Order: sequence, then structure tokens, then C-alpha cells
Amino acid sequence: MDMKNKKEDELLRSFFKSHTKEIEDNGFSEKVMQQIDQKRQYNGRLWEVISYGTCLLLFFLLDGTNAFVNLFSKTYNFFQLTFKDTSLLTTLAAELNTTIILHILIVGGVFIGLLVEYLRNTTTTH
Amino acid sequence: MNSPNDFWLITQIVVFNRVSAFNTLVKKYQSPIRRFFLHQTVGNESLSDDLAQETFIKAYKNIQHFNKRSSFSTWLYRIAYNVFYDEVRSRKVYNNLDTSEAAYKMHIETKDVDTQLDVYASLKGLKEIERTCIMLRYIEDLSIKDIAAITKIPEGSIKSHISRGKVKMATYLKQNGYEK
Repeated sequence: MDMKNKKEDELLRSFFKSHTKEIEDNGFSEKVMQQIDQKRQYNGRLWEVISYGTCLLLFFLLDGTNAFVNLFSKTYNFFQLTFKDTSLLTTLAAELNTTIILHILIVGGVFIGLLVEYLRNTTTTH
Repeated sequence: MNSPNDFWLITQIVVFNRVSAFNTLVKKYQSPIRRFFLHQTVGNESLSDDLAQETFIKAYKNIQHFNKRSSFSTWLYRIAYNVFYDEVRSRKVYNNLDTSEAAYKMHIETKDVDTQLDVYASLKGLKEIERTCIMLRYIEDLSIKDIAAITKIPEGSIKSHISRGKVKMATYLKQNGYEK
């Protein structure tokens, strides 16, 4: 029985050894990588939409438009009066409260995100 | 088949999101994985390539879950095994496959139609699980332990499947003049 087993083992091994070979790639890897790239781009877009949507939502929830109007009017006033009275510089700095800084960070984050995404798309297509 | 280099490539994919490292892995393992599916589908080349693609895409998606307790090739075969049996469950086509037609389709441009025909014909006589075990053992040269890890079947049962498959294969080969 053991001898028979051994013989069958050898028979199968020699049969498969002579009948199997390496399969040439012939563009298979490229097809796989193309599909992976497509999925990555789709996932990237999805995250982009979610991230920017969240930023936009936060911007409006925190009354971003009003904060920006305030910021711009104060900046305008500052440039108008700065040469008349230097103490205005310290007043403006004091008025830049945390909400305004938060809005600046949100908008800055969106712009940086867009820039990074643009650079990523142009440099890592492959 | 597996090497420390695989772990370095996987680290590059997981940590640095370097897709080119995965490309290297695909190139390295495309032949055994496609061969696995070719034998499982008894020579259906287009279906094999579709399933192999699905295997690599699933591997890429889940690569962060790869734990280094097993080799990458064992993990990849495990995915391939699941992909194949999901396909079998979803469409029972393989039993209706005509071996000669499948081999002809696959090797229409090659000279070794007859020899490949014999491989597929011999494998067709086996049950799916016997075919899987025989292939992994004799073609891919994996250990019983690795086959058990891939199929999640106890080692004793693997040995039984191999034994039964081997008898069927040997009988077929002897009948077709392959005995020395």
C-alpha cells in the first residue's frame, strides 16, 4: 500500500512537472493596476467631496459669511486709518477672535487640500 | 515563493500607500494565481483571468489586514480560494464545461493542446475540493499545513482529499499511458 502510494505520488509529480509552466504576464498586471487606480481615484473623490462638504457645512454653521464680512471691513478700516494712528494695529489684533481664526483655518484648509489633491493627481498618475 | 522582500513591499503599500510596490507583487504572483484558476476552471482562460483580477483587487483592498503570521502567498491563495468558491456558489457552470473545448480555447495558438487537454481532463474527474488540494499540493508544491490554512479545512481532511484525488488521477494517467 505504501509502495503504491509512493508510486502514485511520483507519477503525479512527474506528470504535473512536465505539463505545467509559468504563465506569461501579457498585460495582466497592467489591467489589474488600471482597475486599482480607478478605484483609488473614485475613493479619493469620495473623500474629497466628504471633506469639502464638511468644511462648507462648518463654515455656514459657524456663521462664516458674517465673520468674513467683519474681517474684510476691519481690514479695510485698518488700511484706511493705519497711517493716522498706530495704536489701531494692536486694536485689530485684539479683535481677531478665535471664530475668525477658525474660519481662516477652514478656508485655508480647503485651499491647501485642493492644492495637495491637484499635485497628487499630476504627479502620481502611475 | 515567499520572501522577506514581500513584507517590505507590503509595508510600502500600507505605510506609504505606494501602488508601484503592489504592482511588483502582482507581477510576481500573477502566474501561480492565474494557473490556480485555470486548473480550477479546467482551462477557462477568460474566467480565470477575471477571477485572478478580482483576487488581486481584493488583496489590495484588504492588504492592511494581512497579518504576517502566514506568508503572503498563502494569504493570496486564501483569497483566490474564496473568490473561486464564491463564484462556484453564484454560478454552477464548471460541471458543464467541455474540457476539450476549454483547452482548445486556451491553447488555440500553442502546439501543446493535447498535453493541456490531458491535464484538464484528468482534473475534471476530481471533485472541486479534491482538485484544489491536488493542485496546491502537486502543482504549487504547498505543504499540507499551508493547504489547511488556505482552505480552512483540518489537515486530516486535506490528506483524505489528496489521497482520494491522487487515486483518481493515477488511474486516469495509467489508463492514458502515462505510467513509466
